[in-house]
Amino acid sequence: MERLVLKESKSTPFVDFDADKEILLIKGQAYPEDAFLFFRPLLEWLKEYLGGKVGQEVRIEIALSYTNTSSSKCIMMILDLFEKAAEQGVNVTLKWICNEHNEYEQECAEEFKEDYTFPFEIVLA
Amino acid sequence: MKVRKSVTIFEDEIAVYDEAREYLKQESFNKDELVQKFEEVINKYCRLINTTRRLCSISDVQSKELKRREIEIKNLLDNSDQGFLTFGKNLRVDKEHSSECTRIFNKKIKNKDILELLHAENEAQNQLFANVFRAVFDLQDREAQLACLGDLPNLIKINENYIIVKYKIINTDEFEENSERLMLILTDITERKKVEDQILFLSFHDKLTALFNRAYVEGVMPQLQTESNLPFSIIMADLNALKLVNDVFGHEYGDKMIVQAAKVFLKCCRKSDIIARWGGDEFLLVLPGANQQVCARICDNIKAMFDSLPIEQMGLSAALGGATIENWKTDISELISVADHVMYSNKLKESKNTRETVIFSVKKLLESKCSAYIGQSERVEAIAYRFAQLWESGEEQQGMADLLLLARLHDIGKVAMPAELLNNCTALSECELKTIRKYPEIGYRMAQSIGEPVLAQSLLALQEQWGGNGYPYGLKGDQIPFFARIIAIIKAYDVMTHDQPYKPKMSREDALRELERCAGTQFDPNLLRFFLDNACYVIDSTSGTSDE
Repeated sequence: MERLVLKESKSTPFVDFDADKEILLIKGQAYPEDAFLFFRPLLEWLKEYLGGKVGQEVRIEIALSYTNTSSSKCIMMILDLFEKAAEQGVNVTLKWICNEHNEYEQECAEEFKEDYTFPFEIVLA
Repeated sequence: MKVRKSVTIFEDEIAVYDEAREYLKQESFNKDELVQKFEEVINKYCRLINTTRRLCSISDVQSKELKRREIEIKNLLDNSDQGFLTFGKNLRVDKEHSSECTRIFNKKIKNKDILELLHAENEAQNQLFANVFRAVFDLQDREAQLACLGDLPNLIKINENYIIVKYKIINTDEFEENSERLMLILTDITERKKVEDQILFLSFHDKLTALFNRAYVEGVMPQLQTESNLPFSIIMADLNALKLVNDVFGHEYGDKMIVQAAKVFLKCCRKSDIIARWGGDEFLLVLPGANQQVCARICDNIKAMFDSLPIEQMGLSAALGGATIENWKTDISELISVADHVMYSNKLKESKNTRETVIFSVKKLLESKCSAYIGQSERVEAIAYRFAQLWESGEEQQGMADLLLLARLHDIGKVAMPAELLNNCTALSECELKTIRKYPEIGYRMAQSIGEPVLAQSLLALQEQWGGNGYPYGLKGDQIPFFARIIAIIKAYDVMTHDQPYKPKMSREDALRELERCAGTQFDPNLLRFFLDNACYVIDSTSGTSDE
């Protein structure tokens, strides 16, 4: 699968979905004017990628210091895909990286984690 | 349902809604299928509620954090003592700005035209601001924009305050077109400038008189040594009697005299002259282009103006020394030295005259404070003269001079007393007594200041009593200087036989009887006996007494 790499901008995170390395990275801030426009390619890429990973490991790392509400919903849609993939037998593990000095990031991470059953680890860095 | 861009993130949920709605339109569904669809919708609805709740929570946490950061940043800005404001192409100030801006402009500035806010009396500056601000938003190239801003002044005046201005081009919103903003950072340096100006002023001026100081003159000396300044004169001036004023009336009064002297020098010199306070009571007058005649005329003017000062100035005067050169074979330092020598020589020559002027001024000042003292010292002096003539057939010449000087100045210390106290008609309070009893000591200091140590000792002892009950030291008998014992008798007689603010005069006989009553307690009994025995001659009517 073609690697999906998006450069970080002031309002969008750095994205590196590398199928070969089986590590998916989202890092930065997310408050694009049209969140769905930004996240749709990610969602499409993930749908295709996760479909072929049954029985295999998929590692995800997310470090988002700020997301606007629409982006938060998009992130939840991504997490829903991981949840669905996990139900279908993909070994999904997620690390949500937070700034150890920023309580609000940790609070947000806890909210994102809620309701998901796949391994979701909040890491303070 | 119309799908808007913002709701595409709810694509799944909308799809379930649309499907359920379409299903209802069929009107031919069976019951089991309907229940299944209903359950599906309920599940999706439940999910939606959950998602929405979590989104709200996340949004709340983030909003709270953003608000906290906003307050933190605003606090930083508002407490930085700097004005931060931005404006766009319409030149209207944006809503967000630091509170210092409101203080600097002394009004609310939101949406105000920046050109109006910066408007000054300087029309050229106003035009420059207008041209540059408009050009900056028209230019595309950042370097050209910065070059344009480089033409603007970095120090301007706003509401009489000195403001340093920095200009920055910033982008406030990456989504918005034309989001380019010009940011002004304003720093009020008025207080700092005042302090700097004050420091600069004080480094070259005397704080008390605002004249130039020695450092200034020494600094400009090389520049003064030009051919165009020839002939070149210097006057060195040294104030007379300043020590006396400081000792008697305090340094505050002395400072006023120095200021007065500075005014005299300023009035008598030309605009082109440099007048400097050289030291404590020394002044240096630098007169470029002044020949000997001009220098002498300025000296004469200064002397005349000192002579015309009111009596409160205590005979303020200065010893002057002038020196002139016609070429630069002698440098200014040497010229100052010459003027200094001339001044000291004059001071010595004029010292007797100066002393008499001071004494006269002090006496006049005392008489102006209390009319009871008018003529008193002359009367006391006349009686003392006749007393001394009889005593041992006349004192030796120097002794006579000392006695007469004491007679003339016996109350000199009272000049420092408040006029209200000298004119008091009622009994004095403890506090007032304490004040008035200081006058012998003040007289002592004054006599010391004018170089009269013998007179000083006698003045100090004038209120001592033969029996030891006087002040300030409670001296007894022979411990009291001889002249002080004589003048104490004569003064007491004169006071009793003339109207005083607190007591009417008494007759000559009553006064003599009162003196006799105090023999051996207040007065030297031998001297008093002599005085009484010779009263007819000593207190002769020519002494000016107003009895009978």
